[in-house]
Amino acid sequence: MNSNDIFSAISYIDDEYINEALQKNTRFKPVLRWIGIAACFVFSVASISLFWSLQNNGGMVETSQDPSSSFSSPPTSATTSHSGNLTQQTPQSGIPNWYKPGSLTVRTLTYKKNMIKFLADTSVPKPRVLPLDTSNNMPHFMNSSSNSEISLPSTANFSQCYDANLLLIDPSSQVPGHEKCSGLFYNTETREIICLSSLLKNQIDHNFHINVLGFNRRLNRCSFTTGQKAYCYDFGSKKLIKLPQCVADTETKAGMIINVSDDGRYIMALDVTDDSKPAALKIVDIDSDNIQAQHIYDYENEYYEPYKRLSFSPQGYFLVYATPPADEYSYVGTASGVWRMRDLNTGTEWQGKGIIIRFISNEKAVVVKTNDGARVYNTTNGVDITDSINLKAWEKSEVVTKVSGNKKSGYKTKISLTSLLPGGKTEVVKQAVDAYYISGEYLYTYTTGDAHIECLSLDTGRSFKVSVDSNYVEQTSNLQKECLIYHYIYRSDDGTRILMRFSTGEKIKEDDVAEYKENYIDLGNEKLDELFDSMSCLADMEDFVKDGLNFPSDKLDGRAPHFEFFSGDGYSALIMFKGFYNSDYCFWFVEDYRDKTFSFYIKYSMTNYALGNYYKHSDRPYRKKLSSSADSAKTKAVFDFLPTSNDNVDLGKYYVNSKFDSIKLWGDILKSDRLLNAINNSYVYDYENKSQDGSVMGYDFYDTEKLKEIIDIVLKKPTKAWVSLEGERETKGCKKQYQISMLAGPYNTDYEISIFKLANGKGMAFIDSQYRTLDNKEYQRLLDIYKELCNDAKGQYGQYIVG
Amino acid sequence: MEDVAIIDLFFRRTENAISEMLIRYERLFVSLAKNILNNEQDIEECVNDAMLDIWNSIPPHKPRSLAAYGCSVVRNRALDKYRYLCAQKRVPDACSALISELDECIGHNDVEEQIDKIELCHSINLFLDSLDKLNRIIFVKRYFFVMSIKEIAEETKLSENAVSVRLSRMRDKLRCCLEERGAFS
Repeated sequence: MNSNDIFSAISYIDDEYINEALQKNTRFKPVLRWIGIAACFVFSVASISLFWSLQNNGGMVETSQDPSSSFSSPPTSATTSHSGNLTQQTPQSGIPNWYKPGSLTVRTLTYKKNMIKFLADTSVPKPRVLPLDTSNNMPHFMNSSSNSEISLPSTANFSQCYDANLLLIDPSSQVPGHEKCSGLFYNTETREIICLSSLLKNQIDHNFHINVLGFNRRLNRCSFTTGQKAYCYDFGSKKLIKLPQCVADTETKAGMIINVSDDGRYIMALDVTDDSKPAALKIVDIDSDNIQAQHIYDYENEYYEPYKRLSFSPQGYFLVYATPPADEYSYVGTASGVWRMRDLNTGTEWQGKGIIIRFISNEKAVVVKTNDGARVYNTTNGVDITDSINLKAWEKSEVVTKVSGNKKSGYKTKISLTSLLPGGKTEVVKQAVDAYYISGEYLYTYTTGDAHIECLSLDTGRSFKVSVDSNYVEQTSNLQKECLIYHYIYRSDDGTRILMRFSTGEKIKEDDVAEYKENYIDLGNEKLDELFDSMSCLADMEDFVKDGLNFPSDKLDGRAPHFEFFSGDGYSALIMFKGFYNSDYCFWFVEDYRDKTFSFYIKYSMTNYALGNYYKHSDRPYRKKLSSSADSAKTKAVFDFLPTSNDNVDLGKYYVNSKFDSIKLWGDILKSDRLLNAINNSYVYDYENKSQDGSVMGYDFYDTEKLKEIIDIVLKKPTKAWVSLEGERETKGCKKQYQISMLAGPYNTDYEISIFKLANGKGMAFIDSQYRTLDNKEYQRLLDIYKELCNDAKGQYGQYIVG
Repeated sequence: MEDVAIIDLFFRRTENAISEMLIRYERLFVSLAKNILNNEQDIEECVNDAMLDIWNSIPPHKPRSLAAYGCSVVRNRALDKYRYLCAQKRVPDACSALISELDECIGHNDVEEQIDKIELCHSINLFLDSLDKLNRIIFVKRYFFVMSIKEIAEETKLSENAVSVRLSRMRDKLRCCLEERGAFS
């Protein structure tokens, strides 16, 4: 028996236990895991993938009319006489000179009209199940210039688009004539299917599925894996070239993460061990006939999430990767995150720190956001050239996007440019668009109903428009009444072509409860962004609070939100409990009259507060200038209808030097009597003196004096001495000796104080998820107290076998 | 539509049964599948396959709880898909960390014989029965619904640390339970 068996057997537990866990709350938020993020790397789609709908709809299939074509063709019976549209538009008034690519055409993919009608007539739109009913009603696309028809099975879906032309068709799409094939592309320019299964049927084992890794337009090569082999196919020379085994499947690897550069030339392969740790990092360049793997780095036996730290530069000249830091975990993607930049041509590397904002000057330089503001480095050697280079305003700015809306009205994205200079301002570039694509200084946007795509220069603010086929506008506008519409904009590498398509999602209709829950109870990251963005003082939240309280609570399964207010010395706080009255987990909105700021905090437990961060920009806190009209008396009057909070922590006191010191706050709360006063039960566990059968014994105890002394000793060192250890580090070389477990507060939150013996004989203390080493005197005294506690408690109160 | 009415639709072989079940439980099923798979297309495929399984199994099966039965079917389908993806090794293990947690429930001695799955499930049910309600909910949320510690903490109003500690203790207890019942030699 192994853990998999247990995991499988858990599927068959009694229904009552499943129902018990489902009671009151059936909400499950999506969780980003390795697989999801790694998939984002592999299948990076230049569009708002965030809202990729679960529904399949639409797709396309080739019907090559040219029998001499080098590409395979499906049987002619797969074509039908239905018509649809694939149209191409050019700018109505020409391309302005400042648009460096020189030209821009827009092609759109639309559905056959009766398909739209079917969707529109469906009371609860569920395009996902449409294929079951419409096998004889395939949607079609048509190129208006040649009037050639293209048939499309409604089950077809796409997983990638290369160079705004080559669409990779999902292998489960059941394309007529290619039902058992994989590695299917649709060339939207020539309207042909490129079927790797057919092309290579005599060269590779047809039993295996073909997983396409990437496509390079310049080389006209495609990389893929099949079975336990990896290949590159050269469409020009029709040569099949074997790729190194490191990017293929093997029996020995537990798994791997594959990342392909945007242009498809480089493939990065990272082995992952059985216990999800990274092993070897290698690079493969498909630009030769003798393709070899280049070894980059060997990770040691360290828990490390490499997917967060691996990327190619947009043009594929550089690889950015990180090695595990020695002492602390500083993530790439934060201003203190350390990474290495490798020139893929020369193999030279340099180490950098901060958030990579963008590559500029044909990737000769890189703009990095650091703790010292924006810096510019030479990409080949890492030399700081900030003072010797004149950057344009947009190059010194970061593009910030915020999504707002809901499933009832749809979602819009606001696009802003935030200067990286000290005190830099934020300029809203687009207030509300449905889709966008950014490449260098150009921002392409589209909004449902618009007759055009707009291209805007972030450098000058000038723009031009390219009209979009009227069928596309009409179809998406009509569908929007019934469904949510997600547009996908793909731009060619040279910037001269755009391909746009759409998919649909379920729209919430009359269900106001769902909308309310989205705004007050679920309150996801994007909603929080939207909420904080729209407020600049507590008084601005009056309507939000009143609307939240006025909703019929009987519709909310006992999860109505609750608000409290506190007026402190120099600050006011509005506390929001999103559906759990008196829960430890709640939101704090604080206006501080001392430094004139408005901040948003999340309280996780009695001891754990954090300054909230913007969802998409983890380094940017929810903290901004307080409205000049805000004052304590006025705010107090606005919220006089709310109960007064008993929780009166002055959070602003802990915001020092532009940083919220949550560790100091944590220490202060533990040192105060707040925790001691809130303890309901306390236990001590003796790991040193196990019973004869090896069990660890635990005892009830009520000696608050000893508990206080333990807390005093443990918290004697300044809080900066404390670290939060991750994963296996906490168990590496540490032997737990004693543990106190305290259940405190209205919800019996568990607080732990433990002491460990390190491999070097020294002591280490753990309290409520933080660690610090102990000096010998502290260590000995703690051991003594714990021993006394155990001895005193034995036989007096309850005792338990812990494990 | 209530569960009883939906089950009645299944018994009358009315295709609306599937759409009614999806209206009521689609979010739950998608969320459960998402916790295991996290790839939109795989999730969709998994839920669709599960719907077909349910259509084929009711009747003769008449579940006491449609939600629980549906969750079990979706979870099994998701695990099948997950294992398929892992076998392909094209994706990192989404659940490997979670499954490795359950390694703690296995004795370190050599296994002399594989116990029957029904017996194992029975042991797990007995173990769940021995837990208090909160711990049982935490365990089921973690290992049935594959929710993260953070999500469980939020829903149970405990700190993440408290949830981790409780899970650790429960794994220890499950190990003891399985050992007592002769799961390991």
